[in-house]
Amino acid sequence: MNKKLVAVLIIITLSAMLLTGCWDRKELNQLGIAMAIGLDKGDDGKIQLTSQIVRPAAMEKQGGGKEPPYELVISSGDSIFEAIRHTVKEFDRRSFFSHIKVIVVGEDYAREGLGDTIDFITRSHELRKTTWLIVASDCKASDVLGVKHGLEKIQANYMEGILKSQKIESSSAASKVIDFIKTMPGEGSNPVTGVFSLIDVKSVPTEGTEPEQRKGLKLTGSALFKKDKLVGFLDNKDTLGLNILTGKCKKTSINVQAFSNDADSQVTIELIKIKCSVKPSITDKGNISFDVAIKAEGNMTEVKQDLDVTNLQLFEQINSNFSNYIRVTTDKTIKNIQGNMKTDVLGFGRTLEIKYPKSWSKIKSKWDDEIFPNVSYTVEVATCLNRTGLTLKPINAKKIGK
Amino acid sequence: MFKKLSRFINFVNDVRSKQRDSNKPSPDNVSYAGNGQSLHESLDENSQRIKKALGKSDDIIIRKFNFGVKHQTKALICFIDGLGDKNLILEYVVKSLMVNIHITNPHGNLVDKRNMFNDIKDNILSIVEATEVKNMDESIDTILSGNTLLLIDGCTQGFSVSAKGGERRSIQQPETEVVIRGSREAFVETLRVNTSLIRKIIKNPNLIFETLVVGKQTRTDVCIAYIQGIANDKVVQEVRDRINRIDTDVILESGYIEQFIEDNPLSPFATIGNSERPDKVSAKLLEGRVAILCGGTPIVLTVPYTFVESLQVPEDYYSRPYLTNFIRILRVLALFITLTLPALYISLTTFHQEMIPTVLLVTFAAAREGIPFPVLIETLISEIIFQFIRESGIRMPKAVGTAVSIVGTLVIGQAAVQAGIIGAPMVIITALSAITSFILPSIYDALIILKFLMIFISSAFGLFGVIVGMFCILAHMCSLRTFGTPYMAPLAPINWSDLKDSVFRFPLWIMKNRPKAITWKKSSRQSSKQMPNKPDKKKGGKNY
Repeated sequence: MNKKLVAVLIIITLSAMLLTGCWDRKELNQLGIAMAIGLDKGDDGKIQLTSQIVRPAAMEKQGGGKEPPYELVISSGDSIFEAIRHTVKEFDRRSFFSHIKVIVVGEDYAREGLGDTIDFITRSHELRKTTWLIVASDCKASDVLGVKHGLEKIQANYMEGILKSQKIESSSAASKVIDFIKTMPGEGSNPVTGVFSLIDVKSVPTEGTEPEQRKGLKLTGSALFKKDKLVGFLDNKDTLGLNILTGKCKKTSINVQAFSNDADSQVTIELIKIKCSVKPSITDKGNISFDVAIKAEGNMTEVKQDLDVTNLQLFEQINSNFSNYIRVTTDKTIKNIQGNMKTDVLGFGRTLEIKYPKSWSKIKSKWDDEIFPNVSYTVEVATCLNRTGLTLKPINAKKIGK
Repeated sequence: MFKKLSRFINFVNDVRSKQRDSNKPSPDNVSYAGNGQSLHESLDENSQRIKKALGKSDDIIIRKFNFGVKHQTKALICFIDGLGDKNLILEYVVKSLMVNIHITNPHGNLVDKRNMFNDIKDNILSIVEATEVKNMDESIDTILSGNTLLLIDGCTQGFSVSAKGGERRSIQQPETEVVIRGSREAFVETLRVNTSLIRKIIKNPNLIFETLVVGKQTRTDVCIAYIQGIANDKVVQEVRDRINRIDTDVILESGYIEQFIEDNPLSPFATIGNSERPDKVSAKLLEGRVAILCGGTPIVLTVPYTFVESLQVPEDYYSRPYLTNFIRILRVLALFITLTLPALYISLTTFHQEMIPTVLLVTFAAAREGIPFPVLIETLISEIIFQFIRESGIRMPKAVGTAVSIVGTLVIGQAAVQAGIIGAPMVIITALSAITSFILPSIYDALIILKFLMIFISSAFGLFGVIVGMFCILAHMCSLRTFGTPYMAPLAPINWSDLKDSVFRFPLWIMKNRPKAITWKKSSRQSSKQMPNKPDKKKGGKNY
């Protein structure tokens, strides 16, 4: 080989060594894959971070051990990042947060405000904004992370499975970090998140197993925030109303009575489609009011034995009770939010801002505390019952509409 | 970069050779016994000379005999034992001179020496192929190439009688390019048989075979085949020139020729195709390519060779287009899997863990638990083990072959995973990229080298490296040329008409024109509107 060529090759090789190629290389078996984190207010006033880290050895198909499939690591610091860095001191693997499914926030922590937490999540390149954000009610976040009941091996997947079910049963809230970011900073809207409560799961003794008392998780309504601070909780029924009003209601089941005085005339309706529009109006005197119009569609899924639902009169009656039910529910929800929570999680202010931007700029500073709790509103509901399922009449249908 | 490097090396070589030429006397050539002498009149003298030239060897047979009515004329035949067919020589040369001459020429009118030669040629010698030889060189050539030399006393010319015999392999099924539907014939080691196999398919007077002799020691017959009128004359001339330029001792296989005449010796991609199927070579000739047949090997070279040819298989054209197109897409997929799958695995598991779906990541992590090596080393171990198994599988006697496969699958595959030396996903990745690499056998060697390159790049730079590496490979491929045709034609530069037979194969009746990138001009192979259709009732067609 020519000397020149050799020299060129040597220079290339030597300079290639100076290139910093593998600076962010991390092998899989050096990582602790975190699936969920919990944030609590520690006893010493610091932030207490609970990371749920997968134990890959327990996930192996063959001989996957008797060890639990995940490990909870607790550390604390003045900021979340500091707490994350402190985990390294007491845990043998570097935590890796890109695969976090759920961020659980303790009630005390949430009441102090989530602004810094959201800031950290948006700044970090590892954490995703599509992570579920949820508040632990009446318990610490670290307690929630330790409870598992379902079929999933990893607890975070169990929580995610529950949260995803919000789509088919919308009587509870489930929101992601991105939803929080969207509603937190603007005037005229406030964030809502889901709520996990610890429950006792009654296990039925089956063959070969002893009945045991276990803990489980349940979605119990929603947590309402005023800006970034938690102000209160709504129960499942109010949350349904809230979801209807904010357009997050996908599907749910509703029980209505065909005859208001006859408890035995119950019909169960599956809500399949619901749409809500809010129209603000300001009168010349400056009175603000909102017209809420709801359109809903439903299918009958269960009918008490003696109701002849093919009877048109009865059918109409059920339909009107159906819309009545929605009207009452939403009305009650708005009253509750106005009276007790005093936070505009419904986004009424936002609609006002869009329609009357000039008036809005005058009132927006006192909207949540003074104006919103006292605004007047009307609720209009139009419903439509589509189907009665695969059969028409019940077997011994007698009762018809009056 | 490769271009510059090759230019540089060429420059260096040129300078070197100039120096060498000025310093040294010309390299010693093979001494040729003939030394340009013409044939002597005396048979004994000629016989002496032949013996001097070839006589040391035991396999030379020289037989002298007398013929004519009065046995007045002396003659000799000379051939190499094993190459000449003794029966043919006996029946059509010796017998016709010694016995049949009494019937065909009873008066023995063989006195005039000049007439005698023509007389023998026209009236007596009954073998089909007999050409004149005029000097010693030609005589020796005749003998060495397996023909039989016939010399007659008093003539300054002799006969080169084609009576080749000897053992030759019969035509068998192709071993490498197997098809389900299509011809079962494969080329053999004998050049003439190979040309006849092509001639059997293309019965066209414009099919030309030109034979050249290459290799100073081996004197191998190399045959250029092309179809005049379809192949571009400049390409044919270029092939001719490049083969004539070869100055070497030995041509044992067509691979020797390939390495001496290829355009891009520094590229991992081969720019000369090869095949052992007569139908495939014929199809390429009919598209305007030039084939180079080489004596002593069943592998025939075709030029120009473009990238899309490595995606094509003879069966693509024999079966209907639907499945063919699906399989062609799979071949492209296989190409990418071979090249990038191990590299992608490395970069995803060491740099971009967030891009793997959670469940898969946990599975990967579980498999990597307790493995002592980084992923790069793990990949190299399993890739190199696979290359070992492959190489030993090819070189081993067939009887031992099963042992290799057992050791390969059981020990390496299962035990290594159970012992925790290699992760199970790694075995799957290696196996998959190994399977897919065999789908494109013609660019196998390039893919393997580049796969290792990608593995190293990805372990240092992650996905960024993979993308940059792929771009470099693509740019390099676009820079290649093969006998005047861009290597990536018709994809780059794009040629819409040629694209009908590239990643997709259109129905045969749509592919009206021959590939323009090969023929360099528009030439059509069939008329248009050949799509099979229902008989047209209006035009008097019958409704069957």
